[in-house]
Amino acid sequence: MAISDRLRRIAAVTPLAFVPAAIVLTVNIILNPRILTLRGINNLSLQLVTLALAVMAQTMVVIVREIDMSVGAMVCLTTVIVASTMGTLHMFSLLLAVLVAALFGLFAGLIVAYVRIPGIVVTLASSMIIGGLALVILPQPMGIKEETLGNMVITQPLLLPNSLLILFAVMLIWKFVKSSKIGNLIYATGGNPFSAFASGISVERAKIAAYVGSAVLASIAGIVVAGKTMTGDATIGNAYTLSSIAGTVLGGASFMGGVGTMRGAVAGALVLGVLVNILFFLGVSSHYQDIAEGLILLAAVTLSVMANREKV
Amino acid sequence: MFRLLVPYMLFVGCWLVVSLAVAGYGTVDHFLYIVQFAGLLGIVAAGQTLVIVSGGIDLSVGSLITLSAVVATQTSFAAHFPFPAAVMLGLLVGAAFGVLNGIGIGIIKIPPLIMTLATLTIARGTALLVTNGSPHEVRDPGFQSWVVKPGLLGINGILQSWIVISLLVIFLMSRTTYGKKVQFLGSSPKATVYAGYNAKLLTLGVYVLSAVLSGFTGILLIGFTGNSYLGMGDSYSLLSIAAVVMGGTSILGGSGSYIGTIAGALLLTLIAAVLTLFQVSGGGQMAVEGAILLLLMMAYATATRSRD
Amino acid sequence: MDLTKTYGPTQAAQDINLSFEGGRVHALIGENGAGKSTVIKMITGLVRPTRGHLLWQGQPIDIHTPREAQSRGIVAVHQELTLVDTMTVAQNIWLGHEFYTPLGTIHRKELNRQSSALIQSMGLSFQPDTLVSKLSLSEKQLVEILKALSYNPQLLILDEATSTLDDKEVGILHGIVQKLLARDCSVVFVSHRMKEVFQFSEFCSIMKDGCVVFEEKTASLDERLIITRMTGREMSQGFPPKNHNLSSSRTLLSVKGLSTRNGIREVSFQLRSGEILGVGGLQGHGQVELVESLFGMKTVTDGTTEIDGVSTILRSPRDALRSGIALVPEDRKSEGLFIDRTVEENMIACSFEECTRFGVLSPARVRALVDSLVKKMDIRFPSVKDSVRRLSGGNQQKVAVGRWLARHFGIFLLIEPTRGIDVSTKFEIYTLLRELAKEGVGIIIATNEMIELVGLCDSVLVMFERRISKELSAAEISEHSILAASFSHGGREGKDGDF
Repeated sequence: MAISDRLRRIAAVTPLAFVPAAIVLTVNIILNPRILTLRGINNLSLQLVTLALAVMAQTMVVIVREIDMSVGAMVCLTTVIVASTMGTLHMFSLLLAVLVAALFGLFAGLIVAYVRIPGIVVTLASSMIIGGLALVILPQPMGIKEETLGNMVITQPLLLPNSLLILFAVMLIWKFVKSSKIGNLIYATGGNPFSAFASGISVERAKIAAYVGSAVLASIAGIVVAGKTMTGDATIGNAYTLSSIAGTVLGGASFMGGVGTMRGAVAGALVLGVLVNILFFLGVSSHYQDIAEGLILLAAVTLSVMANREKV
Repeated sequence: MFRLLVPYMLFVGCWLVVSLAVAGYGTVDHFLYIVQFAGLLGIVAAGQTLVIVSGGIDLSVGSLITLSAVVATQTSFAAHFPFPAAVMLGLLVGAAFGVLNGIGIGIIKIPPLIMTLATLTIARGTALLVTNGSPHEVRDPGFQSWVVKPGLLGINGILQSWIVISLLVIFLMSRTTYGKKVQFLGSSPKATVYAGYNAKLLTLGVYVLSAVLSGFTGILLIGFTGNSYLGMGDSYSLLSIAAVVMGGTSILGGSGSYIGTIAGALLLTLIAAVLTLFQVSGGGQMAVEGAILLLLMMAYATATRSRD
Repeated sequence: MDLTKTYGPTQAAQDINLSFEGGRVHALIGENGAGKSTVIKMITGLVRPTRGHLLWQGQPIDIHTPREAQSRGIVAVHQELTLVDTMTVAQNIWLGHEFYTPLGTIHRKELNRQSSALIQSMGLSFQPDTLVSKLSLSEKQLVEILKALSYNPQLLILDEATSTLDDKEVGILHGIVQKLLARDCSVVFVSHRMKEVFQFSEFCSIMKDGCVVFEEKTASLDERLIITRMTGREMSQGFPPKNHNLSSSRTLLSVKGLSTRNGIREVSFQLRSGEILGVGGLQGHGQVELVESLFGMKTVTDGTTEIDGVSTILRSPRDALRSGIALVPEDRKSEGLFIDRTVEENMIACSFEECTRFGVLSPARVRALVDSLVKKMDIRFPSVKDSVRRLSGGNQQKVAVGRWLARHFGIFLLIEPTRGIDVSTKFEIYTLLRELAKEGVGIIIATNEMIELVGLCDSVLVMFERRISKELSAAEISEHSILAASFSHGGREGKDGDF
């Protein structure tokens, strides 16, 4: 295949979000060249990987035309489980946390799919249950003493930070899932639920898979948070819910369903996360951070809506 | 009908059980004490009801509560505005955000979830800006005592406001053209085009109303606590949605009434009070509320199904 | 390759006795609501028959789901697309029955390869990895057909599958069908397009009011016979008398050279007070677009509209309403009514001013208004507080029409007003419309139903390929003249059945 064809193929598959992501990253590097050091990369990676995983979680559910309001709560619960069981279970506490998350995801998915209650309400309720549970288990933040976790997340054996490797591992697994039956289920259901049904695809299974996937990804994000802070904290993850929605929009996923990639999700998280850095380095006081994030989200979604409107 | 009755029955049932089981409960004073908290939630939920019935959702109510409150306290304290003027300003700022929501959702057609998420963030940032991180107290004894102390008919300012607002909202939804059109909009958006309704104005209206009601709640809160602080309204965003949904209104829009929301607010508040009584922690309360919300939704869903 | 059906569910289809043979194309025609869709749904597993059975290759079978039908080789292509816009052509063709690698992932290359093979074998030239969203409507319809072919059908049902295809594409479809016939596949062809029925089919079954009323070899049929059998009624019977004094009426609406984006082209006509003007022709040739553009729902790119002599620009339904134009849309369930609201609410939905003061509804005036409308339209329902969803189709349509009657409108537009409605209600609506016309209202009806065009309308515009093919005055209206103009501009005059 000719080089130009190859390039065109790649261009077609690259989500639009990569452009602002690249821009934003470049600006950040210009403002703060120290980012390019090993330490800088590690810090940046730690900062972004958690958000990226949360955005990926939300993206998965958005593809099937639903929403997951419990992403943040899941992060909280995961750090809590890890912190409280690390003493007895050691590294198996991580497995426990992911399993618990998967169960909650399954639960939510089953209710959305079979009782047919809109996901926004189900996950609203489940976020209260999960968040509340986290607070009950650990009303006060508790430190994690297990070195292994911290090493796993924070260190940088080769050039690449471990946290980044975790992210890549997740994306690799997703690549596999995407082309499998489940991935096909999810995209078809999101793209046109009626068509999917008419072609014998189980819309229910797609939604359940999406919610389980989202819960697992949110839980992995929680593990990274736990490793980063070496703390179990029942409120640490709450901001992730709304940020995950913002990142999903920035990443190009459509709330009409069927459109969205994990690469886009990562790009969206990148834009969101790095923008904060940029504002900091520009000397913009943290007072303006929220406003800036809100305006960026507004701009992104307006562009997205306008672009889609032309087709009508 | 089923959807309306259930939350009320649950509330009454719960109330009876608790009154019998626990000393000190069941008195009128105590009832009023509980109900005033429900009122604060109920007023916010009134705006949320309108928005959800129109087919949308408003996540920004919590931030707008905070914003209106801090604008009022800041201008009255720092800029020495007379209190009423400060309050007006607080409400106006909130209303401005409501207009923003209405334009984004009604005209640009941004999905309500995302739009109100954006305004939530911007409003939160604005509140931070306005207070410079350190909010002030309120010093208007007259207002505070109106809010808190029983006055007309033995009820305090919060309850008086709630009753008036409830009557107005119920009247709006059942007896005015605007209210009917809003419900139709949520029920069949396509059909509203063919009927020649001005969907943009309808949408703008509900979001402005929601914002103003949230702002008003913020003002009542500062009268209640004498204080404003950042994040004071945050929990109201999700709780108002819970109250609306527990009251039988469909999250998808088009059906439901504020009467149900009132029950939802009462129920949520009573549950929280009872749980506090049993010394259940904040986390436990949240988990129980979430579970009840879920159970109620499942009950509604199965009931509707069996009817068809 | 035989499929025989006997009996069926009541109301929608009754005592259907059809048999489809391998290697032949069998046409199934009938008016809207005649029961064709029900028959197809029974064959493809979307609906269970309440009585009777299906015989497949001589053996009785039971089909519960579309999947079961597909596994036997019974596949249908419908007019509504079942494609996923966000996926590629290849993904859509094999949706639900993809090729997998040993690892459990979908074998993309194989998907594309098989798609290419299928595409080429049918004489088409799509790229398998094109996103469906980038295709035109008719291309999408072809992909839909390919999708059906991927199941290796033994019985292929084409349910109005050609409505979006142009002549060249219909020709391609013809080739595909020939290839299938060579494989001893049986094809059932449902269509309104007479030309294609004659072009494609060997055998023809006509349905009316839920029953199969006539069956014959296509070659021995002609247009007129088919239509008579389909409608089964003498044209002029039962309609209120037409308006013969039109020449002296004033002109309400004058349209010159009206063109809309992707809609109609250079449409010109006049509507007079007291006139019922029909807009007919084959489905999908611009009738709906024309009427909706008069209600302000389309972007006008050229031409002028004059109402009562005043040049008007209609940019939205609100503009239209202000100019005295009302519309009863095509789909009463999602457009013409607020389907989940009460009868009472729907009746006042467009006439709030009549029962409010300063925006506040007066229950007394609401009741009075609703009562008078119900009486005028003779609508049947258990209670005004019931959801309008529970009404019969005919009564629903009466509400959809009646809700405009509280106000005075100069021009009344209706799209397919009697679709899916029982006969007696149809005539009640016709009578109502004629009464309105007598009061001076100008009425435009876009309709497919021949008897309406012939029996009710004072004049008829026949549309073909988005333009007005011919304007027929009262004396010129006949099924023949309408059909002639439906197939080509101006309508060539020729012998019966000669197109």
